[in-house]
Amino acid sequence: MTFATRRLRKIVGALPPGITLVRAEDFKEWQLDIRVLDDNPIYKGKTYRLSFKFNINYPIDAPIVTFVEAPGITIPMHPHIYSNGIICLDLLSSGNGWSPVQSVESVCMSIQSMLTGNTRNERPEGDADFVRSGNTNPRNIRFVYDDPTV
Amino acid sequence: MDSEQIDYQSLNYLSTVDHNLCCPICRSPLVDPVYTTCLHTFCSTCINKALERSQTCPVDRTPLQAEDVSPAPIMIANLVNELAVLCPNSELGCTFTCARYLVEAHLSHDCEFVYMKCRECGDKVLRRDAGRECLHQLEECTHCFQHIKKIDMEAHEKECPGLLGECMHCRLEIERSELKEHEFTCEEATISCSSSSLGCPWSGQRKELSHHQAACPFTFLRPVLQAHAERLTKLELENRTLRKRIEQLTPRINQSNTTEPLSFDEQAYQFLTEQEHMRQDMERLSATLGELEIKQGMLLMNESLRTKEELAGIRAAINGIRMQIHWLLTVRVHGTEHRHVVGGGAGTPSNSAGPSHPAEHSASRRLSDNFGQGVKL
Repeated sequence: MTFATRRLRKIVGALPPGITLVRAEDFKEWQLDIRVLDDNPIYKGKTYRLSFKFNINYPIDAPIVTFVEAPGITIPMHPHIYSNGIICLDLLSSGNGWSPVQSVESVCMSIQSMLTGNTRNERPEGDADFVRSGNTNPRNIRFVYDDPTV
Repeated sequence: MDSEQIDYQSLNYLSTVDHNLCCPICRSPLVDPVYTTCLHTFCSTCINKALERSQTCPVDRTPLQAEDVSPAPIMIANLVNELAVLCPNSELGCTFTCARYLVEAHLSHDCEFVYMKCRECGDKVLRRDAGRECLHQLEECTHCFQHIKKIDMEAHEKECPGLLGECMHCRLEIERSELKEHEFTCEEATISCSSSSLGCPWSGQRKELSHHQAACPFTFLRPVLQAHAERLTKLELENRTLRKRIEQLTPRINQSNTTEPLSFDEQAYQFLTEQEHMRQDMERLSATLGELEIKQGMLLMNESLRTKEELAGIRAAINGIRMQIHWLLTVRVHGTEHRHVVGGGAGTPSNSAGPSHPAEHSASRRLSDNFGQGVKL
């Protein structure tokens, strides 16, 4: 049993409100559904699906977290979420954003609050170009975290 | 068993552990606890791994080096070391529980579910069986008479072909090795009609098959239907090969319709242009050849003219010289005769002999000259 597996085993159980585990068959990829709990008109009544991909060094290495589409589930509109599901959030960057004390729950809650606080029903600038570039691994992307409002 | 082999972070604890005693990185009760200059506590392996990646405290992100980490107070270590845990072999059947720091001793001395070396043959054996006779000796199975290691006997008995098994159709007890064979002959086994491939929907117990077949219309028509089926497969095969042939041929026809005339025209055009080029080359070459011929002729004429002139000049010069020589010879002959006549007595014998020689000589020379001239002209 690897370090990552041991650590992930501890989480299954109590999850914060608005977050449900959809798929966790192995310790490579998990899917969780998240809902925004307040009355934000952009996200009210909608459920979104997050995919967590863990490597063997989790939790020392950050997991790869993206929104995924599923029947009846779309990618949420947000100025920091690209339409292919990639999330621009410093917490998820392998550089200085991630900390091994973070967990699946804490990441879900951060994303939940990122959605809750959003008032702009729009995609990031240059979304079409970014999606066309075909980069689906957030690890290969250098984001500039310049927006303190979210 | 080595202490390194015990995976403390995956031990199961008897009761839920206060989260203050857990490492924030691995979420397990602290193992070998250490604390940082910013007063956060981690397992020593966890914080070392985290510092390899980022030199900040994982909790408050203050800069942190490996030397800023020191062993936690003994009280914390004692608190976690005295937590009650299940034996790591609990899944194999060990029910032992103890304080965490005693696990190592339990595994190395007491746990019955630790593999050890067999005293007699050195093979692997659980500790609970190690004290008894060697379990790696071969023993004969009482049912199938195969030789099997004693330690594997339990597993073998579950699949021993010599043991009796029950037929699931007729409930007859038969040796397991013969069970499969029996199924092909069991009177109670459910089978389908032998003409099921031709479409007979009947299925029932084997003992009723003969009764069914006496009335089965498919069995009556079997020869006819079979012949039809054979013919059908044959035709299908033929059809398939023909279709393939057509597919192979059609694109070729299409190609030949469209591309070949074009290529022919192109080829003809190419040939024609090539020919034109060659013709032009030929004309140019023949023109140059004519010019060269004329030039050559002129050169030759000039040269021969000059040579003729020179020849004439030379001939004239030779004639002149000949005349002069002639004249000189005659003068000399006359002169010597005259001298002979005038000064013959006065000359010494040596003197008289001297001039006579050259005269003879020049005469013979003249002769040869004359002779040569005759040949030349």
